[in-house]
Amino acid sequence: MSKAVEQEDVAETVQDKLQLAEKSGPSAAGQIHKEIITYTAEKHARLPKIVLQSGSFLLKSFRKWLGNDVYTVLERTFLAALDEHDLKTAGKCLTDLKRQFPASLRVHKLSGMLCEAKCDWNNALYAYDTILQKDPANFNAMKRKVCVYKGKGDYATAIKELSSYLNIVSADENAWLELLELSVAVLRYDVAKYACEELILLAPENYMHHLRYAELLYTTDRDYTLSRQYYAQSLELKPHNNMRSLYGLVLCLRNSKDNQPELYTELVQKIMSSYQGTPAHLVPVVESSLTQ
Amino acid sequence: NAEYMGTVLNRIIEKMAEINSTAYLKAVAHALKFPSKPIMGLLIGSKSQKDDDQNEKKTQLPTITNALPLFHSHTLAPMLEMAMMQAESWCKINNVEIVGVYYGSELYDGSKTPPVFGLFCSHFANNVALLMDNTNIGHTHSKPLFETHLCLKDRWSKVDRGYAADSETIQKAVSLLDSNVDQKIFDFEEHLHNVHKDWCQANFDSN
Repeated sequence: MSKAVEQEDVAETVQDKLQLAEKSGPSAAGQIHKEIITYTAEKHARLPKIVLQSGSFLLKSFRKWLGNDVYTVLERTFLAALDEHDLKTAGKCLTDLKRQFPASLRVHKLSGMLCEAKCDWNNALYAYDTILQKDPANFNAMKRKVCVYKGKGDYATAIKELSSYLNIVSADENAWLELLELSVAVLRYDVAKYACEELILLAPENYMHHLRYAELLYTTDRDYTLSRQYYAQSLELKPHNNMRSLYGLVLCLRNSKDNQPELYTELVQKIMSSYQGTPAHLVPVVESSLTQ
Repeated sequence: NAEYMGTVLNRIIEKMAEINSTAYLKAVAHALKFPSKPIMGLLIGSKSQKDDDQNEKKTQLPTITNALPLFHSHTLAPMLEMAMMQAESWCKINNVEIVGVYYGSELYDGSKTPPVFGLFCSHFANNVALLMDNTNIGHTHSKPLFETHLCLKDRWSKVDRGYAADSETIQKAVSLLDSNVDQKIFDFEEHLHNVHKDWCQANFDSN
């Protein structure tokens, strides 16, 4: 299942839980809010508004009931507050965590993140460098440094730092994805292609990687033949709901010398049939763009 | 020199142009739906007709009546081409034109646009670009949400006398912060994952 669809499902489930919490009495609501926090953490969903709401609710009157779980709730509420730019709540959560774990590198990383949210880049870098001095293999701190450079707008340094991190940890798929995005933003397509190739090697069953590589080939080398092959591979891995590959194939056929009219017609038919049941005004838009 | 170009442009632009409520709210909703990603979309409207007896040095900014949200990532050539083709079809059918682009940076400091945005804009010479000012989201009426940039002789510069939305629209835009925008606006990229998502919806329901 694509990440986008999964995130939607998670969001829906969480909304249902929230509605249930509103109807329940206080003690049941506490349990549900705690479930919301653990569920979103488990699914790596980014729903800051909801997590902040649930977290604030729990931290107001349920601290004793949470017991030792209060620290996880504090951390997750802190992160959600940063996303929502609620620096006051974030600061309060951080103070509580620092009080309990004064020497913790994990908490120190969080104070670095608070500096980042305030755009205080120098102090953020100082915090992460301090962590790396005490623990040179702290991958979280290395990754946060990349985030600082990105936040500053210094994409070049961010790419450099991320590349040196990936030299050490070459199996971090998310990091390669981030490198891909950063390099596309600064038009460093050579780095982008390298990152995409690594992604395909790491996860050859993921249709998105093949798709992105096809798009990179189309964009940079204008190699429509090879791009077509990767689009076809992506379609093989995900035959349904893969409109991006279908459109990509259409464009590749248009631009290459042997445009294979039968295949083109078949593709157009497949695309138009996927549009059945969609809002009516979309159909003529698609049709005229395909049959130009 | 970007500043000098800005002053030149300020002189030649006649008056503040208005941006339709639908276009404004759609762009803001698009940005709010993807707060941690760079968003880009097209501005739709009509270019002003030049009268013969009008001083040729004065330019009117095009009227913006709608917006088509395209992507929430720095996209690559194929999907951008497909999006542009479909957007042009939609415009032809609805008798409007593409008059510019809007862009919201993923960084807090929206003015630092990455090189890929420059590449995107180079295809829109003689058009308008609206850059979202991320630091002003959440402020009610003090500062405008968008900076207007115009292209003159292949150079883009910021203009102070750009687009202004009326106060009612701005109020609605601020209230979007608290509402659930996820179901109200879809962009082309989401449409590619699920064709039932309507990225060409003409109206925007802000309630």
